[in-house]
Amino acid sequence: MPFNSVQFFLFFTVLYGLYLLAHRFFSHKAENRLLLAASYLFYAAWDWRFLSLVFASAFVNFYCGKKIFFGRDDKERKRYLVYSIAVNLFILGFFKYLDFFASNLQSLLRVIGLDPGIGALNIILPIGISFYTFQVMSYALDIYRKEMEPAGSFFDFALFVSFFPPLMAGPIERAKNLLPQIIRPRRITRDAVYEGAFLIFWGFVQKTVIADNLGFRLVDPVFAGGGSGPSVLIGVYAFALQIYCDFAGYSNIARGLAKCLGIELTLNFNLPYFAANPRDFWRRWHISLSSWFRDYVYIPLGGNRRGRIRTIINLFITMLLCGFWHGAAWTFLAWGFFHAVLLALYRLLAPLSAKLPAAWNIGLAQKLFYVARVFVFFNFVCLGWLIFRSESLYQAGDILKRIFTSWHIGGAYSVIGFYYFLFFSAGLFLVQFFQHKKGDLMYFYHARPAVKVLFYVICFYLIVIYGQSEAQEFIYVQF
Amino acid sequence: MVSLVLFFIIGFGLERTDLVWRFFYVNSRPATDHFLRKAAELRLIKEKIGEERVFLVGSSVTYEGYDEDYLNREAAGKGMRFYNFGSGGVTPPWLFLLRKDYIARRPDLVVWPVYVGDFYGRPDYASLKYFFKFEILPRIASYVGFRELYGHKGEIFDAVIAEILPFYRYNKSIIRSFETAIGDRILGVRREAPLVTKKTGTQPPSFFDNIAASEVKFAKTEYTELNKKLFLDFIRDLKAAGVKVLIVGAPMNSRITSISAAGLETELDEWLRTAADEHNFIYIGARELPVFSDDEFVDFSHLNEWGRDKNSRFLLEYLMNMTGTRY
Repeated sequence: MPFNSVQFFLFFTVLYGLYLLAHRFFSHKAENRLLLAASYLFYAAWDWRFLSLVFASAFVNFYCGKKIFFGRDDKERKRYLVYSIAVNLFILGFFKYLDFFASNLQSLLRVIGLDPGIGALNIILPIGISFYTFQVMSYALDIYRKEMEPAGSFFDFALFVSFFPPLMAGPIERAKNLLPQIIRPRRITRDAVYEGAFLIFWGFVQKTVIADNLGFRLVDPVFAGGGSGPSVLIGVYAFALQIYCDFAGYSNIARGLAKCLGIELTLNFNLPYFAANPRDFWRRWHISLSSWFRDYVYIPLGGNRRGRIRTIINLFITMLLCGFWHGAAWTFLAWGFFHAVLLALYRLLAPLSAKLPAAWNIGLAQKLFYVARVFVFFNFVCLGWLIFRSESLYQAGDILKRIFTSWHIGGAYSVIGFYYFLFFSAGLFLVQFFQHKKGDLMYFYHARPAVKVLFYVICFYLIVIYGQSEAQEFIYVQF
Repeated sequence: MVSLVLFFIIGFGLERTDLVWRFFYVNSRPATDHFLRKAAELRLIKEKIGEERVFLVGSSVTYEGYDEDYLNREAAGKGMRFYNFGSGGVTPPWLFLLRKDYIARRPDLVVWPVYVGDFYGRPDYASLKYFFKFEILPRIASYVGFRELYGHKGEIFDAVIAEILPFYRYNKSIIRSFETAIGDRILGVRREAPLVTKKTGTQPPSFFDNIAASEVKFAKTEYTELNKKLFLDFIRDLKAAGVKVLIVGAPMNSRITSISAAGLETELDEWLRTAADEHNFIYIGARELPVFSDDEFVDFSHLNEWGRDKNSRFLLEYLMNMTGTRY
């Protein structure tokens, strides 16, 4: 039941009606039970069998959370933290990575002449597993660090684990942000509902108009092996916009839905393609994941406090894990490695920027220099996306080669592809330019009435003409 | 709210602008965007200017069965103009939904070539959104049940949206029209009239054998009675608006019997003859048509260039030779 489907529309309409009734006439507890039942129903619509996994995850972590908090001594507290992390990693490892390790072990053994006959196990990847597993791990870790208390009610905690808006593809909510909002009575204000509706609307435009159109018109043909140099280049650029609009679209819809229910979710994207360097990029892209790795991996490893070499090593460990989180494939590891290289280079070269001529940091020159850095860095990010989207490292190399060696315009089709790219990217850029300039991601919500009306009317037409009525799955749901 | 109102006002305004429809008519692609093109062609028909209008309606059998260019050339001095509105997958329920649009353009005669597929098949719900009006839902429900409607809930939801939102009905075709227009500008092509393509040649014998071996395409279904009812309602409403109706038993490849249940052609022919008497419309059955050989068909039901010529000539002669009232 993707957000962009008729079923979800009906599901949410009915749920919201009941929720408002519960909010008006019943207790806060009733609201939570209703949301829990709806969240389980939402997940079961994909595959009811894996509901047991969500339930088990909630049960184990709720139990461990209590034990960690009320543990007699540090040893016992640590033991239950290890249990909790081990169970979560076991679940994740089994469903997400076992096939990868098994097939790579088989390939390795074949090199030395052994055939263990392991083969592909074809384990189904439960949707949202990477997201809710990381969410519950943050719960155990935060309790262990004494940054929060465990949930008092199992049902409230179960709702924290399975709350449907971020369940499939995030944002990865920290327990200390989401859980208190579940436990305490909520207020649903008219403003929050309007803001939520705006986020849902804009997320829907990002997904069904920009991401889906770029995907099937420009990206899929290139990664299926077609296209000359210019088409491939446009295809790679288009994928950068597709994955952004697809994922940010999901996050916006999730945040909007939660807002309508009186819950504030974490901001997951903050104009990432306006970043001028890798550090800035990771503060703007998939913020809930990058901050998770920062807080629970990079900083505990020592962060940047143990000298330059150790910092670089920590960066590589963190980014390789971040890449691996996306999926069990060498391309994701390579993508993580690539970003680690960018971050490491930036860390090494950043001090040089202090030596730039002062004239570069004034007025127009400063702006042009910023634009140039954004453009150059965007191209590096696109190179990373090329690796990320490829089926294999070999394909990534092949596509990269085609960009540089097959440079001819392939007739009207290429030009129409270019037109589509310009059309959608210019629209997106225009929106983001104003968001950036005004420093307000909700600029078009807060804008003057005339601007607002123009924005909505254009978006309505884009949805009517370009919106994909056949619900396309969100990219990050597969992670 | 203001944006929504403005969106609908602009949409309805544009939908009533000939320039927009002319753009779609000229730039829509022949096969994929047939519904948009035919809707545009219908909308662009002006007030009557003395000529008598003949609308050829129905499925692809109609579209492929008549050469409207030939008909218009031959009828040029005779005060008659032909419009071929045949489109793939248009069966009686969908055509029933178009009746008011046809009547609004004041045809003098509507010619509808029918074949077993029109009555003994299932409607193509994927194309429902191009024709949808709410009046069809109770009719389908009363004949085939709500369960069947529920089975097509996705297509019906899409169709309902299409009925409400301006231009949503043809959105994919509109995009392709833009693409064609842009491609033409780039290639320096200036298009005044749409590109028309019709099927030619004949499929190899293996084509017929493979399809015949894999399925019985036409048989009595739960839609048959609905198809017949809406066929008669279509005729009734046209006649009530003063439009004459000519139903033609479309010529078929002799191999059609290999993909339809036994005796269907005869059953349909008999039913149409009875209905013509009861409901007062003209029916030309297969036995009144010239003889068509299998070489004059592309496949089971569509005429090729030779068959099309013969069929068009026959229609023209038939209309010209009618005595008494012109039709």
